Amino acid sequence: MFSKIKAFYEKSERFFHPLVGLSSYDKYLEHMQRNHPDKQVQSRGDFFKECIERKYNSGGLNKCC
Amino acid sequence: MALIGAVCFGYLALQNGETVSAMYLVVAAVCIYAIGYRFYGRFIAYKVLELDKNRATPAMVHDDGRDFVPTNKSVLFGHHFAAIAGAGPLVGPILAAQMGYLPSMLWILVGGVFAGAVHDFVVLFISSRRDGRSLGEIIKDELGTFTGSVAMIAIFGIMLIIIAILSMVVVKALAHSPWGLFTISMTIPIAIFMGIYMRYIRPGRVGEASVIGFVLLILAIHYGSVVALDPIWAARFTFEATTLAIIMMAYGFIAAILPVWFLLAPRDYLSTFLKIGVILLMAIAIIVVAPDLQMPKMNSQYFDGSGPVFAGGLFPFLFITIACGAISGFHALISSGTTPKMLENETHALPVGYGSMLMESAVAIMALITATILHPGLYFAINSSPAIIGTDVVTVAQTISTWGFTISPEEIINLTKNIGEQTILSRTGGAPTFAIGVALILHELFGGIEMMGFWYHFAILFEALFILTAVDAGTRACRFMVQDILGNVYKPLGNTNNYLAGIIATAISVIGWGYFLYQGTIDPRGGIYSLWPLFGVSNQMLAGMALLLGTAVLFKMGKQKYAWVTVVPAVFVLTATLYGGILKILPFKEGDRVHNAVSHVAIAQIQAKKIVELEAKILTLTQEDEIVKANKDISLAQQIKFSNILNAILCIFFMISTILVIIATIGICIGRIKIPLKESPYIHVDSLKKA
Repeated sequence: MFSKIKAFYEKSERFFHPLVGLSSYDKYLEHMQRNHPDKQVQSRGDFFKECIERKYNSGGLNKCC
Repeated sequence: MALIGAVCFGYLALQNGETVSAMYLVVAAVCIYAIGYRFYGRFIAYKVLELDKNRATPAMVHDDGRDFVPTNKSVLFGHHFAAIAGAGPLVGPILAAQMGYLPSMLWILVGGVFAGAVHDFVVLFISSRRDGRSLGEIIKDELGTFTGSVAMIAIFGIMLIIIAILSMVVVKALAHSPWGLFTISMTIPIAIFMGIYMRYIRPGRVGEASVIGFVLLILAIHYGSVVALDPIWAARFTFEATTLAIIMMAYGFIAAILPVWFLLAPRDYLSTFLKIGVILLMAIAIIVVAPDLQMPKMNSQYFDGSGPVFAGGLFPFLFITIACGAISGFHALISSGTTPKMLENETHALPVGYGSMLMESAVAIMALITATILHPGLYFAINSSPAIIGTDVVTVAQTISTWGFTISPEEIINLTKNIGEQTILSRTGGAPTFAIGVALILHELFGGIEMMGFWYHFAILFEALFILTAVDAGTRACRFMVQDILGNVYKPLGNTNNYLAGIIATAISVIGWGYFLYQGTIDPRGGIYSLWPLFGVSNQMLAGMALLLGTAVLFKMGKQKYAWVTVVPAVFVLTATLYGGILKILPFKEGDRVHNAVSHVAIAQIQAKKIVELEAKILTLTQEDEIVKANKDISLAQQIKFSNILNAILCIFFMISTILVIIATIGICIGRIKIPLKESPYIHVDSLKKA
């Protein structure tokens, strides 16, 4: 039971992160595994950190009136 | 479906009785959206734009697991909707409700289906066929470098006005409201805690942090009532609008130079989840409670523009006042931002681009409902400035009753008490009206009268939260634009990694919007009255530019015969805004009160005259305090005069930029200007799969 909830929770990230405009870490891992299996992957924390830096500090507008 | 819609519409249009249930409005709107999406949306998707499910999207071609990520249709719909919907659709319809619910409703529905949704959809389509390039870049590519550069400067000016007007909505809602101000202030430490949690305690766990943040927010609202009842603490959280404007500027500056993970990002998540949640909750609540509309169908006495809430007549100003919800140019910036980089399939542009805008249009309908279920007397007490209705409850009730909306002082006092505020008079800006409407609906479902204060402040918090996020994010975006421009003058200032250059550019941006905000708060007629239409004009001019770009692209793609899809809304929007713009810069006309209230030039002239009179009067005065007061009046008049001249100049600049875009578009359409179509090369989905 607990593991099921945990699995569901882990999966919800794919839904909630793109909803607020963040990249999903799970999807990133999949992408790296599929296309660049030889490369080192970023940790969740680093990935997240870089993601928000790029989102808000790139000059684009991401919020509206 | 069409039949049900027609019946509801007929009922609304013909109903002349006392009240009519909001349900009819809801059902009519839903039917229109469904028909619009099913027929017009699909027509544009498959006949006009010819979306191709086999054409690879930028997310597929450039898939990098970060920016370019193919994203599920529903998730992207939610993301796009959350990005486009903000305070705009909640404010415009509330102000426009002064003319009755029917004109606003018609414009929200017709504008949404035929103008706004088309606009968002076409821009999303154009950007997704250009690797997700931004609106400014696309205009440069497709309409020429000069036109593009002018358009970019216009976008910067429009951004400053929008940040100013949004901050003004918050300032007006929080002035003299210790409960509200305490709650909003608490969002700062809550967001910082979430930021630290997501960075150090549980890196990257947005969901957990948001749940914790939400619980803390509810506690903050609850303790807000305790603060409001405590005389010492209430005094500490009670401020005048002018003081709050300065606090707001200081806040905007500090928030924009802090690292994003610290404050901006966590609050953005919180506000996004809250936004989607509250909108769903409201939709359900309106259907369950089915409140009656109390506002008359049409307040035709205000069609000429003599209404107290905003300046200007039905045409063009109703169409300008309701910007977001019917058509908003700002969506073009979002539709050419992150969304096109996340499309999983080109055909998803229909639900994401067209569908999200219909959803926002529905939000505008909800806002209209919250304003029109109020007693019209209360509505005008909240939304008229003190210069028109006075400052004490008895005078206000008397004044408004003479307009034909009979209201007693007790009714106003009762409502004020129920929502736990000190006053509801002249709470202009739309947010308090919306919040009262929300409280009236939700307290019937949850908690009864005792909970009205909670729901009121919950709704204020909900709006303030995403306005503050927009102020913060907007200031950052402005900062990069300023650095872009300054970099041309002196290279090091353009370096976005330079801390000092960043601070200078941020300060310039904050002063830019802060000026308009501060002027708005000292204006005795309340700022919103004249500044909101200016925002509407500039916002819709941007929409007009984007629709023109769409027209030029359609012509270049050889789809002239379908170009009316963008030409018709463009012509309507541009006629309304250019006409509105001209009305805003016409000189003083003797005896025409409405004309003079609309025009910035006329206001400046009136103030100039007042200054001359006051200066003459000062010479006759002998009493010290009278002279001091006269001098104060002169300096206020000078400030109002200067800010109105500035507004007029901005208005002229927006109009010139718009006309430039019109000329470039016509030139392209008749073949005088030849700029080739700059679409990315066609890549078939299968060719990517093989590789």
